Amino acid sequence: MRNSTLRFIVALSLGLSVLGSAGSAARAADFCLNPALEDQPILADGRVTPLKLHAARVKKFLFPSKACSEISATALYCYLSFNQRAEVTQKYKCSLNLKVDHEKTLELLGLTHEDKSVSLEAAQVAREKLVNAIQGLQQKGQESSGFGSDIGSVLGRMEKLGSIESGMDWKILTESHQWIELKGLQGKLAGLPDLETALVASRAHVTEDEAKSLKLETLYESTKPFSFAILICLAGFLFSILAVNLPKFSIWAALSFILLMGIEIYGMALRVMVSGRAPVTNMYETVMWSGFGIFTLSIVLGLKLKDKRIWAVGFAGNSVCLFMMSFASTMLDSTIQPLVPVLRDNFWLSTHVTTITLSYACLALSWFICNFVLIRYLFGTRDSASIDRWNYVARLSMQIGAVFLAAGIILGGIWADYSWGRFWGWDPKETWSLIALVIYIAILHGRHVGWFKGLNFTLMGGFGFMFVLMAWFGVNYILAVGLHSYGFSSGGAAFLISIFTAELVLLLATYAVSKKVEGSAKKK
Amino acid sequence: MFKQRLPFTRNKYFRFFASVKFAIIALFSFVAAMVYGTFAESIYGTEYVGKAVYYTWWFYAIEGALSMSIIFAVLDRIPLKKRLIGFYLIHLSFVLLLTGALLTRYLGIDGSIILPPGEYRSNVRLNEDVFYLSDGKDEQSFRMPSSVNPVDLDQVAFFADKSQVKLVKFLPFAKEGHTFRPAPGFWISDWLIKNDKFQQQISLANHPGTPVPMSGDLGPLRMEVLQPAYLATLEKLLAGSADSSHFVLVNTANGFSKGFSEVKAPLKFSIGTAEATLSPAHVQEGGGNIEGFEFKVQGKDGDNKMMSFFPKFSTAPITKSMEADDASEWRFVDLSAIRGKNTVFLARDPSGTIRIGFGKGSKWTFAKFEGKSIELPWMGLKVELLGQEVDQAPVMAYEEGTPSKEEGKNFKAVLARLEKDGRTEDLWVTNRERGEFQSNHVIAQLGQSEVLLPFEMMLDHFKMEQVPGTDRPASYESFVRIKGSVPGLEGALTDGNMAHIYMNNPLKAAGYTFYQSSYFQDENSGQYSSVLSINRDPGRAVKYGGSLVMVLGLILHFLVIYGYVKFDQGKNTKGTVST
Repeated sequence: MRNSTLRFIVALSLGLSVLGSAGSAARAADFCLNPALEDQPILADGRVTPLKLHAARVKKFLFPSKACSEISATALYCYLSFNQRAEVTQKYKCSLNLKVDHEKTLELLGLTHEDKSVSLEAAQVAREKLVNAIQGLQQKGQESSGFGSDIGSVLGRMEKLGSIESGMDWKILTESHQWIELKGLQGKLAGLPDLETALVASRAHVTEDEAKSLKLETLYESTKPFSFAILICLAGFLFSILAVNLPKFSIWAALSFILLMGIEIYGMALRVMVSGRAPVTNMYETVMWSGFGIFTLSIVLGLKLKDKRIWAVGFAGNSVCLFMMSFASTMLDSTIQPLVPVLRDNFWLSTHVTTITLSYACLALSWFICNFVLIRYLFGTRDSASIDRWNYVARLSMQIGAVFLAAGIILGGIWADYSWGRFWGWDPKETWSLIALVIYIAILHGRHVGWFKGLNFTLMGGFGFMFVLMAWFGVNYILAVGLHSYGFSSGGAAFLISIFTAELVLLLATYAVSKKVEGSAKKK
Repeated sequence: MFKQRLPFTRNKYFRFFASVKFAIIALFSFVAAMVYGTFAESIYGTEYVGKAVYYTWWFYAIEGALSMSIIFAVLDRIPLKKRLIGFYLIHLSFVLLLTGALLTRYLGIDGSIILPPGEYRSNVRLNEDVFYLSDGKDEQSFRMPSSVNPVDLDQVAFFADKSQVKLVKFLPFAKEGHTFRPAPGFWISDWLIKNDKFQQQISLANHPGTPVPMSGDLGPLRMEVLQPAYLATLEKLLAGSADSSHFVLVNTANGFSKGFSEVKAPLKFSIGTAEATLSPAHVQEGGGNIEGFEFKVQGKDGDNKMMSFFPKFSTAPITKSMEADDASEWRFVDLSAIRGKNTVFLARDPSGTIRIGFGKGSKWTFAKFEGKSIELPWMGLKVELLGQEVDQAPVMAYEEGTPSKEEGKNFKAVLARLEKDGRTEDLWVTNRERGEFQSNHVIAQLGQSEVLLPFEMMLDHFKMEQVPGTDRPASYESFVRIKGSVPGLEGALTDGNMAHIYMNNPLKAAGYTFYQSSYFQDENSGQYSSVLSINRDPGRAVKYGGSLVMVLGLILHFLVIYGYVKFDQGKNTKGTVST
């Protein structure tokens, strides 16, 4: 309290000595460092969120990762909102160059590949060039290529920075529970001290629900449960491998399993409470949910079949998902965003999407198992009893997956019928989920009549999941972009294509080796 | 019943179709067709893929093969065994789902209704292309085939005035093109302008009224086709620097030309036997004066003409609707404007000789165009004649186009031919714009088939909510009034006689279901119109039943094979489902 009074007096005397905008600039600079700003609410993307989180997201979007680490993201956001770019660049020696990811965009801006960013002035000068380039790409139908979307992002960054600096991005809650842009508030409140008071008081005006959601989101972001989960998951993986031969590690594996379960449930529960809906509304969340599913199913199967190696596969599968969540941020966006109108039905969202994602998790477990067996085969472990044993586990999770997938597709049909008036419409996402189901039906039927025996079944297990990957990611990252638009350089498609290639190489290599092994066995 | 093995199951053909081998062939064909369908959709769009894959006879045949495989597999496992209950249920559920889908497809209604504010409507648009012909008294409609390729049609419509309209061709995916009609005096030429770095093609016509322009700009270069007499006049004026005239009045038909250094007051002169007056006339625009001229010709035989020229705008007379009248034989040329730009003039006389004139400022060259190409004095540019059509005029026509993923780019076209008193008239009609035959004023339109609801609906008001702080729609809702006495309607209405339809909250009334589908906003009034999709689905119960049976079957099946539920195995050993 005394601090703010003191600052008020300093501000007042400064205001007296320097009139006009220069004066208000200096005073604004003062309270941008006020730590009370961090926890203020802001309305962004249609959601109430803590200012510090919004500021961090904006900073991550606008600038390269190491830019301006001298002051907090909130302070930076505040300075920029009060149009104090000079203050930040001079006083804190911050470079506020906008992030540029694609080499061709850098080339277009006359920069080298090492630059990775462009000054705002240079970007503004080149604005027309960028717009022309994107229009050129549009004519060729390539606007969603890596280059095209990067130009779009650079233009988006310029626009975002513009809206921040004109005081239009910062929306502040007033006493009457209305959101007002900083610009509007500046017009209403004459003095900066009043403005500072209004900004800091914003937190007091939120409703009880909003306050709860703000607290939970802060908690979620500060504890980072899914980053922490990676460590435990990897530890669990190691312990369960060790436990196969050294029973004393079983307890450690079990402990990691309990801890991981707790952390993931905690993380998902927080997300559910913040967003108010099931955690399956974007790619990030489906990966999160299916990772949880893979590992839970592996624990159940491992206990049921008394085989700790299944735990190891489950931990490994979940680790893959957690790694994707933490490091594939261009493909999986972790922010909680409002839903498009058609998805706003919590009941169907919770039932249909969770069922489908759970089925993907079960099928993923079978895939991990099959790939494990295939790789092991390549390295010389070719014991057919062991292959059959693993195939049994893979088939079990395939069967569970196929049941969930069938149920999920039906639930989707009922939802579509209920909200669009049609049960089935050959939409690519629908069609691909059916393709995946049909593939697994074919595999299971084929095995039943004895076509896919031993390693052949394992090969089919590796092959089948590519169709699930296509239904899960491919429809969004390959089909939506269009084959003819050279969209493969963007994150998702490149990721998928490399997985497909690796899988095919593995399948062909194992098949070739198995034929050779068979041949030499016959000779003997 | 079903106590014994069915006799025909021993037949070798039956054995094949009931085999897992056949089932897997059918399943993989199904997968291949669907994979092709989704990839084709990402390139050619939803409409194409529906007509080319999902609703074709061969796709139905694959689905039929699947059903056959499933039914035969069940018949093969008769006598019924308790242990196989899951198997029976799962397989029958697929048949139920496919039957439900067929019922929906052939007995259901799937369309949309557009509701502008304050207007009662009952016409539902279905997804079927229909060609309508109307002479004002009666309307005739013709259903177009469901195809992705051009289809030759053979339907005929007869009208009261003894004219008849024959439908010739239907293009489900059309693009603009042209054909030629005989037109004496017309000359269409294709030119290539090129040097080491640059090349560009241009088509020019010597006559207005074709889709081909009479002039065009290629960067700093301008090309224009003129009447031979006009070119001859320009040759005199531009090459001969003696004439210092600023403006030139030209008659392109007879070669008359007269130069003026300035026109400050009305000038009178004679053209042959006619009296002509040229007077200054200015038009105010954007605070500045645009220099204009008024030109009157009074012929002896009372043939009077009056026209206005604005040389900055066009050399042709400007009509009252402020458009250049290129068809006029009169031109009023600002020579300084011509001299200001690198220009190439071209003309062809009836004997087939092409003359070319090019230059800038006071340096002009006029020559006969011979051989393949001629060199221009700028940047090593050459002008080359690629081809020409003589005494033929291009007519707008449509040809087969490539379907696009962006549905807005796709359009359909129909060619119809009117026959009346031994004369024919061709008319292209697209689903974007209707057309009219000149000879009998029959209006032709390519639209969608419609059915009428047994009641009328009106949009009372439309509500759109946005995601707070953004302009993305969060929800859109229609408040609809319904007129008409249909049983079962009253229960569907809330708030008086109003129905509230929004996403995930459809209106069910009289066997129809109405869903909020989309909306559009009138550019002028800002008022919203709502688009509802309408659906009547007799297959719904069957599909839901099938779903239920499938889930039950799956649960039972796995409970049995993993030993959670045990049935007496009995003596039957055949027909194990899974191990």
